[in-house]
Amino acid sequence: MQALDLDYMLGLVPVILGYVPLTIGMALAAMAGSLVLASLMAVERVVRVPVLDTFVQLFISFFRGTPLLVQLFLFYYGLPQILPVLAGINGVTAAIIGLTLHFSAYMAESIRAAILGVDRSQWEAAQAVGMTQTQSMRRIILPQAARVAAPTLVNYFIDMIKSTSLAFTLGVTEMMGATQKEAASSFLYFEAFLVVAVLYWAIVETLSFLQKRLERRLNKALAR
Amino acid sequence: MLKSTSLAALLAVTFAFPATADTIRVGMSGGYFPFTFVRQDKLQGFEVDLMNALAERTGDTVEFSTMSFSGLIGALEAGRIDTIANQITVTPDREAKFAFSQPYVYDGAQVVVKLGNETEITSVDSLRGRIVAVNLGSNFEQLLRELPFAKEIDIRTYESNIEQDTALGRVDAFVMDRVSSAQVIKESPLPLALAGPPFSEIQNALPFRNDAEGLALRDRLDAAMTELKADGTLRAISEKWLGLDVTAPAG
Amino acid sequence: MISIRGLTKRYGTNTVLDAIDLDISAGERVAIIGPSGTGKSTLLRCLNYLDRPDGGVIRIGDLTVDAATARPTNILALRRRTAFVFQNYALFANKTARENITEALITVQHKPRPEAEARAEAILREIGLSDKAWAYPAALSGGQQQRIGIGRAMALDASLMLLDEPTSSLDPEWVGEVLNLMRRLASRRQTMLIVTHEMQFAREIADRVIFMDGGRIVEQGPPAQLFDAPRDKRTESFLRRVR
Repeated sequence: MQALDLDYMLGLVPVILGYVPLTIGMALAAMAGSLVLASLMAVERVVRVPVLDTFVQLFISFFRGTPLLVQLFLFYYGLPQILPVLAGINGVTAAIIGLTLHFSAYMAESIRAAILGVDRSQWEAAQAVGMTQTQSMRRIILPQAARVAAPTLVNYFIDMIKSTSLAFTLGVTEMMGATQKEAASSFLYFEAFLVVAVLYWAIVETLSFLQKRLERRLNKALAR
Repeated sequence: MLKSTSLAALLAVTFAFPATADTIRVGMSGGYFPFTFVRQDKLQGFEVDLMNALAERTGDTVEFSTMSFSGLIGALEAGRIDTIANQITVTPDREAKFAFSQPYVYDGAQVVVKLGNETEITSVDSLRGRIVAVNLGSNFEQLLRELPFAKEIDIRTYESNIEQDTALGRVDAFVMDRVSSAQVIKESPLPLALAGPPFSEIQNALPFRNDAEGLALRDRLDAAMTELKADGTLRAISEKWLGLDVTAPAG
Repeated sequence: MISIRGLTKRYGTNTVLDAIDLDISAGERVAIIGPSGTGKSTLLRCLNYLDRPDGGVIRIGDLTVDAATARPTNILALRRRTAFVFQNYALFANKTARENITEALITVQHKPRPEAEARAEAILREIGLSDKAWAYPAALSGGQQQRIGIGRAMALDASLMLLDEPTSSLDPEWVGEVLNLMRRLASRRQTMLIVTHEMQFAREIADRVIFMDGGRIVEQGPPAQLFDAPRDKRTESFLRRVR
């Protein structure tokens, strides 16, 4: 059996690390977009605006029902064929948009469940003091729902970080894309892909650690 | 406020207007050793040197854009890049769509097998009844499909890493150009061997969009190419990366 | 000042409120007693449209809301004239004790923050929970939470305070402190409608006691009369059961 080229692996680490900001940057941008879009859709699904509700249900069904890779290709390679103006969008932007749409569908369901999980008496108390539905949502319900949904949303963020690896199929050189290129010239496939796997792993573990600390802080407010 | 500023910045980057004539956006895969590849984060190879040399002559700036090989043609059509420097073989189909520069590499299609199998697989004919890997969208895929016995070959198209899968024995052979195949065998640790002589001569050139701007760019770079051939620069690049001169027809 | 005519509520084929007519004068303290499930809570909840009545007109001061034509603006206006105290306290879980009191003052009544906070501080002092101003409901006992709940209602300066079995969910040790607070409110002649099982308390602070059964007001009158000399057999048998 061939011995591992450890020197090559060590030499590759700083190269791939250089792409971590892009990976995390894309995930953060997509997360920001997803949170906004998902919250709007979740509130709509709870309140149920006629006509709009059908569209939102379709959106959620489609983006949860098709693979992310398919969605990315459809958006980046397919749409410009019928809407040539879209060809001006670069791979990074397309990846961010794709991730946003995809994950917002999942997050909308989580946030919706969290909203519905808030005790009915909270709604009633808010309405009893004379708050409008919007005020009730903003001041009382959503903050509590956010607390409940937070762990799940962080999990989706972690998922997003890993999913950025698909951006290399859109021509984006992020962690996975850079690794693939290096492997294609060194032909040391195991070493190269092992390095990038470990780096993803390190990122995810760090985030999980931060997630646990966040959870502890949020629960302090509700602790007995 | 931060959100709107970054949104504005993002949009500006996204919808950057097509480059002026001074910046040539060149597409390449960055995964085709030794023509275009990345080592320690540095994009390099025959094609990189070629484009830089051409741009020096014309006074333009080159902007390299890497993406998967199968996406290059689409990117050229969509206007995301101005040309492709990735050993694009001149074929009748492609000539109908694009305007090519003069050829700068004369090569042949080559069958490559796992080391040890070259006694069994000795030519293109031996591929009957075998599994053969090719790069998705490449002319080699086209070449195989045009063979009279194409139906007897299990042709598998790949996005990447056909060399590895052949070395592992997942496929019986891959077909690529002879020149880079030889380099791969020479420089990489993969147990591969050339199988039989090259078949089907190919000529590689730079493709351009068939519109006024594309044609103008083609003419400009073509003139520079002639200069590079005349003063030996092109030959030097070839020998640096391939160990031989492939920039002129054999014989 | 407060008049209710023909208030009706149905759940499917079940009529929970059967055309209730009721008048309440300013400063009057009214207790409602009766067997469980006879519509007492529903009556309260219909008065601020937490449950939407199927029919009937509610008038508070110059505000009239007719179930046939009630729209969100009417309902909001109605709710801004009433204050509700829940059986399970229903404090805003994501707000501190203090914030629970200031929340509506700022968000609904648009009072400036300093004014709202001053009011909250005064109320916290009055209900004896100044030291718990920064505590979240989860850290408070049932009795403390209900006192905050009442404090929240007090802050609204509503024309009518509705208290829905305010002590029914409390451990016995906390009932006393909540009743004390309610006594103080009553002594200030806060117009209130209380659904309760605390007969002694009702006798003590109410101007009028109403006995409800089967979605109807069976009889009503001053506590002495209703408790000691009930006119209706149903009132009598109920009082006997709870003695």
